[in-house]
Amino acid sequence: MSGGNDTLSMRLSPFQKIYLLLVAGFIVGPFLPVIIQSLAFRWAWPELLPGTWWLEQREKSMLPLAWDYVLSPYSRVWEATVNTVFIGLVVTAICLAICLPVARLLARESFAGKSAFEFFLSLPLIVPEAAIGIALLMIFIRMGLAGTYAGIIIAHLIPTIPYMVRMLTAVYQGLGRDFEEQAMILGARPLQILWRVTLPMLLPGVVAGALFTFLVSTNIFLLTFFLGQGQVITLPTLLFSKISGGNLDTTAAGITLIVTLPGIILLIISERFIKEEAFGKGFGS
Amino acid sequence: MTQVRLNSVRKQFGNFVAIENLDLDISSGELVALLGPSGCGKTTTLRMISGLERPSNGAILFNGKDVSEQAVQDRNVGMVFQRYALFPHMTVEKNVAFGPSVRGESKAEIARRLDEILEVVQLTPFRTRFPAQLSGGQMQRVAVARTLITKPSILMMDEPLANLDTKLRVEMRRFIRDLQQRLGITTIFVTHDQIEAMELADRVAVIFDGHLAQYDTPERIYRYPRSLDVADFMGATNIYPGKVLSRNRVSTALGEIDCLHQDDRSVGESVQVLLRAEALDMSTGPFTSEGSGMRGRIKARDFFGASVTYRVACNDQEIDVTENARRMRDVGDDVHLQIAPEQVWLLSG
Repeated sequence: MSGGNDTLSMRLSPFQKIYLLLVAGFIVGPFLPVIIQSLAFRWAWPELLPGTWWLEQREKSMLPLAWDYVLSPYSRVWEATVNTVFIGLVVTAICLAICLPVARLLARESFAGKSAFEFFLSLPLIVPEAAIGIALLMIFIRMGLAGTYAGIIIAHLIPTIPYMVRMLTAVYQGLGRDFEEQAMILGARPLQILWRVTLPMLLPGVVAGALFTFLVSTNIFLLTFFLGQGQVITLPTLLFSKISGGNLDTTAAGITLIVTLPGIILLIISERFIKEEAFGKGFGS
Repeated sequence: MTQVRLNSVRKQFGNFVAIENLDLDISSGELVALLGPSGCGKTTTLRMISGLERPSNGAILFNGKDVSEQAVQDRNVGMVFQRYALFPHMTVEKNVAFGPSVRGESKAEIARRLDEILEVVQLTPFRTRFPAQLSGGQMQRVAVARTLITKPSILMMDEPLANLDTKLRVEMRRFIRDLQQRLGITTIFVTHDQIEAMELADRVAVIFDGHLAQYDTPERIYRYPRSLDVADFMGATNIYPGKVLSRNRVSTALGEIDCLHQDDRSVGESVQVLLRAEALDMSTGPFTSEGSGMRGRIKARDFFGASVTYRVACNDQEIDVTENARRMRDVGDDVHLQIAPEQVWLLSG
């Protein structure tokens, strides 16, 4: 990091540095009050900083109030976290399975109605989530899927598939047919080709797409709220129920920080995972 | 040992006919080149033999058995792609062992065959490298090894020498030729380069626009092309319209030339006369008018190192003459040209 800072200060003008700092502040800024809040004992309006910090009152509570609540079974944070991660993983896996063949077709074949298909594919990004949610709820109640994991997973696939297809199509376009044909001639069956040739070569795109899908899924509130019917809670719905009263108290701040954890952990893992060196560089041509 | 036969094979993509009624017989152990300009259907033919494409009509037979409907994986063929298609995420070892590994061979057997084949292609010191760390020639040897380790009944190659520089080309040509003769494996390769075809192949199938134009030994295709297109593609430059005067004499704008009798030519027929540039004898000595003697003057000279090609003006025509570069003549020299009757080839015109 220090090396990066050196080049930063060497090459950038003061204006450019201020500009970057502003953007960084804009992104990181909103987290600050949440972090402060989670460590406060009492933080009432109009104080700029908490009137009483947890550290001053530590004989009254072993942990900061927020964390004490979050870690207690009453908060249902553990249950919501498990649900969120489970739903996210299943959605990602199903999304990959659906999108790989679609991306392959879009990248390699031209067929009548291809551009229309691509347009329809982006519809879920245009139509408001609430409209999709209401429509799905009407169907799912009749099918008995409302309030079930299956219902939520299906609902999460709708906004994630368009992103995944786009990302995978881009990486498929960079993968010539030669490699799979060569594997076929060498005697590999379709599943062996997928597992040993296609997926490893598509890995950067697959990881990026999977990461993105997982993050979107773990952040979806409205669809989960509609279709979960309060029976399946995830971190976003739990958070919303906490803050819906309008007051951001310390416990809500704690949950907010927990909500961001899966994404941050995943981001760090994938950063280590998609290393160009692991690929031995270049794609043959 | 596998003998390959294509029986009036036809391939159509939508409205485009890539291959029209192609008949081809390849003896077992033979090295055959499919030669033609790009887009002529030669690669489609290779892909149909490998099983990557299915013929629209007709049949492909291996040793008399129809394999047209057989899946690629079950044909036991080998193919070396033009760009080698080495798996970039695998080392040389893993690339070469891919075939036996997906076919479920035992670990011990794979290791034994891997050692053996890496020795054959002289890549043992490079076994843990990734493809990106290899030179073009090494990459091609990996591709060849990866194919041979599966013991294919037919070896196919797409433009095997196209991506190599001149020095490597000679080396790889010898390597492929030696390997093919040692293993006696039926080999088919595709090329658009007539030199590459002649350098390597036992027989050459010239394909134009999806039709088989000629299928013969390189020497016969070079000397006795069956059509103007083939002659042109094989690099012939001296082709003149003419008329058959008698069983072994033909008249052209260059003068009258002695030739050998060709059975399918009749007296009075209009023909195209092909005189290969290197078959012409050039001299500056006293002119004798007997035989096919022609007078001319050198207009230009192209030096190619081992050989030199002169452009000679002769009776208002121009003719190319290629000679060994041991002796150089100058532009403006008056010369006599002669050609032996057996070097004159008549094409229907």
